[in-house]
Amino acid sequence: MADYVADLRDIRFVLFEFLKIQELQKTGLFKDFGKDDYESFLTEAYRFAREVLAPINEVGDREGVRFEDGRVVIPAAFVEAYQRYREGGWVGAVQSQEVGGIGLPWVMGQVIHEFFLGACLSFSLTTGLSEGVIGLLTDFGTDEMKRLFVPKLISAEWSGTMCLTEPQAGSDVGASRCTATRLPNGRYRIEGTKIFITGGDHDMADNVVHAVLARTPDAPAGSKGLSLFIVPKYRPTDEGEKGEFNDVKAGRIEHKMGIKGSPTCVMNFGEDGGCEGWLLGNEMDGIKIMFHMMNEARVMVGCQGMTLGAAAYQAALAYARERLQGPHITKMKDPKAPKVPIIEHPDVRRMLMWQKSVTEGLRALLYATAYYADQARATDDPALKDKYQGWLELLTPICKAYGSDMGYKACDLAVQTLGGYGYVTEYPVEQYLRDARIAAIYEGTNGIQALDLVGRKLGLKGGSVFMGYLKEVQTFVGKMKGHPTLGKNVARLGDAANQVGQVAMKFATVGSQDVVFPTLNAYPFLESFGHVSAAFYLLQEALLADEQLQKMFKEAGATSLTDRRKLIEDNPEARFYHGKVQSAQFFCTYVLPEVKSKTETILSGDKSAMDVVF
Amino acid sequence: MKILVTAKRVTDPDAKIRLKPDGSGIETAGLEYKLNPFCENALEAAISLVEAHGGEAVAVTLGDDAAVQNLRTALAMGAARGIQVKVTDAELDSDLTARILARVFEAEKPDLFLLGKQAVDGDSNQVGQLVAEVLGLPQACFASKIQVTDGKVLVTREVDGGLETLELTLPAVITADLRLNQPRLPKLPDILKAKRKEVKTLTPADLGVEATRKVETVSYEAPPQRAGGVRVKTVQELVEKLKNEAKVL
Ligand SMILES: Cc1cc2nc3c(=O)[nH]c(=O)nc-3n(C[C@H](O)[C@H](O)[C@H](O)COP(=O)(O)OP(=O)(O)OC[C@H]3O[C@@H](n4cnc5c(N)ncnc54)[C@H](O)[C@@H]3O)c2cc1C
Repeated sequence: MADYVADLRDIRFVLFEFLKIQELQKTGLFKDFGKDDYESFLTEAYRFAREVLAPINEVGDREGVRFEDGRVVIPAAFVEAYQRYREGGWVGAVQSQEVGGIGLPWVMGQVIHEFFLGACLSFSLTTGLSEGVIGLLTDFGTDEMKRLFVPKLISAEWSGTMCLTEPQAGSDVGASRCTATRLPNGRYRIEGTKIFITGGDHDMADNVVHAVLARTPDAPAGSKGLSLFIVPKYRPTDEGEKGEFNDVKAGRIEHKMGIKGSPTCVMNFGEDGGCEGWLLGNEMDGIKIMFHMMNEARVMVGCQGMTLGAAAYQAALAYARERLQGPHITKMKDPKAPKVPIIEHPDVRRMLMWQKSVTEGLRALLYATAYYADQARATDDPALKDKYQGWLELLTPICKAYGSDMGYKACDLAVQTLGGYGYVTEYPVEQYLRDARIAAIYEGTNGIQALDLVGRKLGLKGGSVFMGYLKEVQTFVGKMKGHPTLGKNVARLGDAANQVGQVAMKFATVGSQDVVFPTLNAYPFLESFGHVSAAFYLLQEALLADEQLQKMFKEAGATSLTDRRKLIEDNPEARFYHGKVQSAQFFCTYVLPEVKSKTETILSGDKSAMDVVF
Repeated sequence: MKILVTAKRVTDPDAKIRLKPDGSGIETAGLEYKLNPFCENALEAAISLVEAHGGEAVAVTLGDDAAVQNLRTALAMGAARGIQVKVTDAELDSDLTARILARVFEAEKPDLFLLGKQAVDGDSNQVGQLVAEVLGLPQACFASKIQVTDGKVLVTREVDGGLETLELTLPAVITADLRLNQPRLPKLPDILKAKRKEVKTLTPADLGVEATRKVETVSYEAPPQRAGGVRVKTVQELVEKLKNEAKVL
């Protein structure tokens, strides 16, 4: 059985030393929670992930989901784990206390997601979607709908899905053909087929509650004509219990590269004309409401990339410490030289360091973004609320696309670190790699994320959100570029941020005449912005860590290089802080300079991809 | 029925333990801690007995303030309240631990005292037995099954080569083995409720215990590194080596 390991020290560092989420306690919204409470939730969530979810990860991959006589059959171990998940009450972690949740800040939700998605992605997707549907109902449902659906979703007796995709409507959601016709009872008759629906049908929960995009009869074409409906597999009775069948059937399931334990279903609504849906909000508000939920869902998908990358890194690190191969680099020519663990080979260290620094950068980016959302919700100051809400909007496509891409690359390097053993199923990293691949595709492909960044987010509030964020980066650079150990890399961040700003200006000026230019280059721009934001957080962390490290040197009276080295080797805390400094240094030297070449590419105005005749 | 049950904080048994360079103890920086797995079995038993027969389970820990975090886990599992006796691990030996716990027992007057059969850090496997001795109570250690019937308790315990069932009168001391049950994981709402449950902090002096020790720790040493294996050519040679080098024959 593969063991799931998370870097608890880094997680605690981000939460309590860098972001200082315990300060949320000063706000009315989160007054119930202090550091000790966060610590309890963290400990218990990690334990649940390791004891209940990690053991089923490989089972789900090997057994997969089956479709038999019109029923979707999940591995038995998943059904059992779901039972324990339900008893644990985990679906309610970040939901408000009014609806029966715990009301934790979203940044803690992020920690729980890191553990659960990392320990078993294919299990935790279904439960993640339940959280999404609860969010839709609590924010947009009528009191009646809340009463009928929310309690069973919060108790996880029922699970949720999001149904957007149809065969002709993938990225182009507006091409949806599902229809909704108003009935005399105030509900709507739903007809049509959705495909690729995660958690569409399964035997873990008693009922599945779908959020379905569909078009009312006289609604206009395109996404503006879509409305959003709550469509359960079984209608609730008046008491909110599972009632009669609502004509929602799984048509088949997909067979996939990864997340094999997660049911991906074709869902047929109203084949026999008996499917009813409850409207959320008003008719034709569908896309607007979906957008409201999008930040959370997209950040969660970014978290999938990060957490699998981080888990793969832990596995690679453990392996590299044990695997003996070849002599030390300085004794290459001596056939009698003892064999060393591969962690001593420089190229292996380079790969490990890439995984370490990138996954730490992603963690800081994702947690910080969730924390901005919490601050935006918790603060009474309208200016601060605006600022944090703006950053959340701006960073959402970065979290999603950059998080999934870089997390996947970390998995890839973990496979490489293990060599042939990384490629075979005996070790967990090949599964992490296959499972992580989906995150770049669903919830809006990464290409679509880049268009969202360039087309929508750069222009938010006349560009002031984006400029405000870059200004924050430059203020930090101005203050810290003279720092004795990290100054040089802080300056590199300043250069990269300038380049990102320069490209954005170019997009704004050229884009109005030549729409191909910004869209062709949206992706390399997103990557550049991702590098800048990851470096921004890594450097802030490194400065804090350096301060702690210097303090420890002083307390131990370690003045000479040898004494300091010894302290770092012997004392795990010193080693951690030192490692944080190295992470920032590595990232800013090996990864961040890619911004320069990407900028050069973009500014060249090259159009070969457009000119070519395929 | 009222049950007193232990909730000891231990170093994560999966963690790699390193010694301080001077051998004065283990290196604690950066170590993860958790609730002793055997205490979890004891807690599970205590909580399910209370669920079946009514009453309350009171969890007790001997440790510094960090140990309260793990006591909270016991409260989240379902213990009604907690008691922390404030000491550091280094100040304790099994005898002193037992004497302190015995005083807590006398103050609380429970019907039953449940402990883990041992703590996975020191692995001494002595405290339950000593507590029973100090209190002059019947004891049943390594329980794999506990049944309570009016004023008596039947305990199935794991002994060499089989199972033994003892009948004890209450109050009694029982230590839990791993096979006793599958401890529950705390529920999210109960984690939140746990922080509102009472935790009383006492010192050994409050309990009238003289903090003296019978065991002095001289120094810690890592076990010797395992020497590499050798390949023997004949059975003869193997027997030879087992006899003369390993001295096991
Ligand atoms: C395992 C799995 C689970 C899923 N779960 C769900 C779910 O629960 N609910 C749900 O509704 N959907 C789900 N999906 C569907 C998923 O969201 C879509 O696959 C995704 O949105 C892309 O749509 P598509 O597959 O039709 O690809 P297409 O839209 O055909 O895209 C193909 C390629 O073209 C690019 N492209 C398309 N349009 C543009 C454009 N305008 N500009 C630039 N590039 C463009 C895309 O980036 C992509 O690279 C799931 C899919 C999978 C594989």
